[in-house]
Amino acid sequence: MQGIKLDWLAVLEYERTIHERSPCEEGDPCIINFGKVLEVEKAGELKSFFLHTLDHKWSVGVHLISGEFMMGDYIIHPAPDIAELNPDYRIINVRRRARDLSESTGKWLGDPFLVKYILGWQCTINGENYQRLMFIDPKTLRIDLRSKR
Amino acid sequence: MAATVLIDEYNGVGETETPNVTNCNYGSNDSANLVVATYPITVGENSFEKWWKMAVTGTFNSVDTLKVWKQAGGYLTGEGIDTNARESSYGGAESYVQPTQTTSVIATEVFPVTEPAGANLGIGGSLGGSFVNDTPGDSDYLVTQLQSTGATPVGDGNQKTIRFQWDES
Repeated sequence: MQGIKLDWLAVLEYERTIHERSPCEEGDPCIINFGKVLEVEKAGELKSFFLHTLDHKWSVGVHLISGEFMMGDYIIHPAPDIAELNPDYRIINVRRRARDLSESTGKWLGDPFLVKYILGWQCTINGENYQRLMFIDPKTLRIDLRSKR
Repeated sequence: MAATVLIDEYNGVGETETPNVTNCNYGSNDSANLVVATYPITVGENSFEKWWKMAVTGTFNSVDTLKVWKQAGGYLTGEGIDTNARESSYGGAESYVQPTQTTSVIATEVFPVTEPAGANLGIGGSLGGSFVNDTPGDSDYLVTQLQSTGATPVGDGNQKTIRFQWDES
């Protein structure tokens, strides 16, 4: 099935260092099969997940071995005390989508659109759930960081 | 891979379903796809309740965190929309009753005018519910009613936008 169209490229890195990019013909919007991310993770192979702008000038990503977040040229470890415990990071990879309805005309105002991209990791330590998330605005590239526990 | 989200409406004593409604106009009749000019709302009265569900199909690992709110557009004097959607004290999935034009006893919350912090429409009776693994399904009922007072001026309302939002992976 055709995937969601985004103004981004997705790059998945596996343990076998195979890099998979979203299929893209030059000049066409890129179509990404996000289901591939979780399939690869279930197979225990996913090392990192990156999103790149189409002009390759900016990227954001998460590394599931180190727990690091990468935003452009910056590397951030959002939980160094957790990293010491070497947990099993699981990817959080969510698209927040929406659709607007005109109450006046009763009709949809266009197709569904991407509101935010939510990327990060989750781990469990001593039965407690920990999450570190980046909320990425696809238009402004603004990133909000949030954590649970 | 993407989910498809549509709005289904339910009307009448028999809970008649109209899938993928072509419009969501409020009016003075309990039916889907209303023509407003045919069923206008008298000043000081309410619209018939609208009983909607978000119908989810397509390809996805999970769809959850359903939010509904008024994204844009102002009310006329005395005009408002009430709903059953809420972030706290969610009473579970509503059981269908024939939509009424009297002041709703189900849509009793003011329709949010900013994005709720968390889900305000449940799945399977819970705000924490989800659709998983490509299995299609419907949200809980979203019940809304447009209400007016004697102070509401005659004529068309302002353009208002309702946003339906969800998280999918």
